Amino acid sequence: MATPRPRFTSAFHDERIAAALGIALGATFSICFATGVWSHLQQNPPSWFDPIARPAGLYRVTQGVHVATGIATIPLLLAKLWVVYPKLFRPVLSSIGVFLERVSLIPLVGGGIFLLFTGLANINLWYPWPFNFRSAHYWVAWITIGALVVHVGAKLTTTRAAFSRRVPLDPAVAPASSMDRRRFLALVAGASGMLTVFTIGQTVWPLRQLALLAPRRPDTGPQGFPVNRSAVAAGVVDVARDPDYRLVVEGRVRHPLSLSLAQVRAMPLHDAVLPIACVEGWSASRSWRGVRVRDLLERAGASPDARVRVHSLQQRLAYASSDLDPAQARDPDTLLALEVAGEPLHLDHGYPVRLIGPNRPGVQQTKWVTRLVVS
Amino acid sequence: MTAPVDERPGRGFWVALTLGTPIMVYGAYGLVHQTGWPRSFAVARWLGAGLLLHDLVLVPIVVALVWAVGRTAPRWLCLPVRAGVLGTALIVAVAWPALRGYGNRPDNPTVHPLDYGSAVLTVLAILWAIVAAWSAVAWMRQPRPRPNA
Repeated sequence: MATPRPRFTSAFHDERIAAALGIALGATFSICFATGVWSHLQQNPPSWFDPIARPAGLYRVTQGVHVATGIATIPLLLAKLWVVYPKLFRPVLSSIGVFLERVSLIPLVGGGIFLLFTGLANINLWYPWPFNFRSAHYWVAWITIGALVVHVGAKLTTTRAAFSRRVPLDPAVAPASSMDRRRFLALVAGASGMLTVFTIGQTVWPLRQLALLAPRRPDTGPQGFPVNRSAVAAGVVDVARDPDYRLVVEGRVRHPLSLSLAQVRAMPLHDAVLPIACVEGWSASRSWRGVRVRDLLERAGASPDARVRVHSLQQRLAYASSDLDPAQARDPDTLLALEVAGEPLHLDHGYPVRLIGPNRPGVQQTKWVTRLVVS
Repeated sequence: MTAPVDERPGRGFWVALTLGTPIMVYGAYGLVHQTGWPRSFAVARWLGAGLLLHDLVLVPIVVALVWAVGRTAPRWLCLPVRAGVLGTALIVAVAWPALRGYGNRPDNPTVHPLDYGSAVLTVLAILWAIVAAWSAVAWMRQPRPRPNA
């Protein structure tokens, strides 16, 4: 005798609502995936990929979109899971196709929840798990997007039917009226919009006063913008203030350099307005003044196609160095900055010298720079 | 009587399965290759826990809230109040790390720089002002019995 299935009387467990939310989720997950892979390529460039220096604010846009879209996806995903919840009680073993389709929901739904939760925790710099966020978030994104491809194939027919109003009615679910559908979708869109309005000010400067739910404010911090790793956390408080500080340029150069801070300051200084754009989604544009990296390379006699590894005074922790490919190293706006907004850099912003360049993730704008190794 | 739904996936599913499976395998391989088996199992545990938490805790709570509002509020008020209650839960959940100070660093006050208690209350006040306005419109639009002539 067949086990009776629970009856769901809410009009919102509806195929057309599910189809509309599915399309929206397909779009938002695809945007997050594309911008996430882009960020990963920027941070860990493989041999076939040279990060580009222009447009200068590209990373700011892609990462801002990544985080904002992720936050807007939270209500979409919860609503979609609510709408399709009755399907959890359907038989799984009616055919091999049904079984495989249901199994593919585990990485899809589990992965989706995992990505949104870990992403939300990461923008708060909160890591309550025993694994590396960056690796887990990146590879689970691949698993989830693979499961999304499978799901799109499985639901293509249903979605088409839903929009052509030829939906097979499920006897376990009451259908929604068009008014119910519009109301429900408007509510979900409103929830996504509300979260976006109250968080996106962490990267969209004119909306910063509205960033009431954002973990960062782009106008708050020493010299008016945030810090991810302080000098105390990096363990560089004393060494960064050392009067014997030297900036060294070495490696594949004809004239290795070892310059005091006064000698660096005596070099021609240039201004550039560039954003600090963090992987956590906040960004702030500032006016920087410093020495062009290409001027230093020319003075040291490096070749025009030189690659440069920029080393920080910090000895431990990740991101103690970053790489500049030839295009970035030669860009006129790639500076070893000494000042921001007309003041010497605050210790937490990288005093005495920090790297700032166009279209670079914040973690690669190396602070407390002491050594450039040319290859 | 309504015919039972034919849930057997069509040809599109098999094509998508052929395309999607290698992508999933690539992701799983990358995870294990880069983080090792113990860390990968930890990721799998967190992934599974998220699923169970949603299906066994979150959904029943939402069902209970929706049901409770339906039992206590008049019909015209149900939808606005349900939207308000669920919206409140969503806002508090998104702001939870900031409210609890998860991720705060004593050496870095730029993480969670606001008074998030006040910030969340401000957002909730805006949400409930919208709910109140919506409720007033719903009350005015509700059908009323016509008085006898």
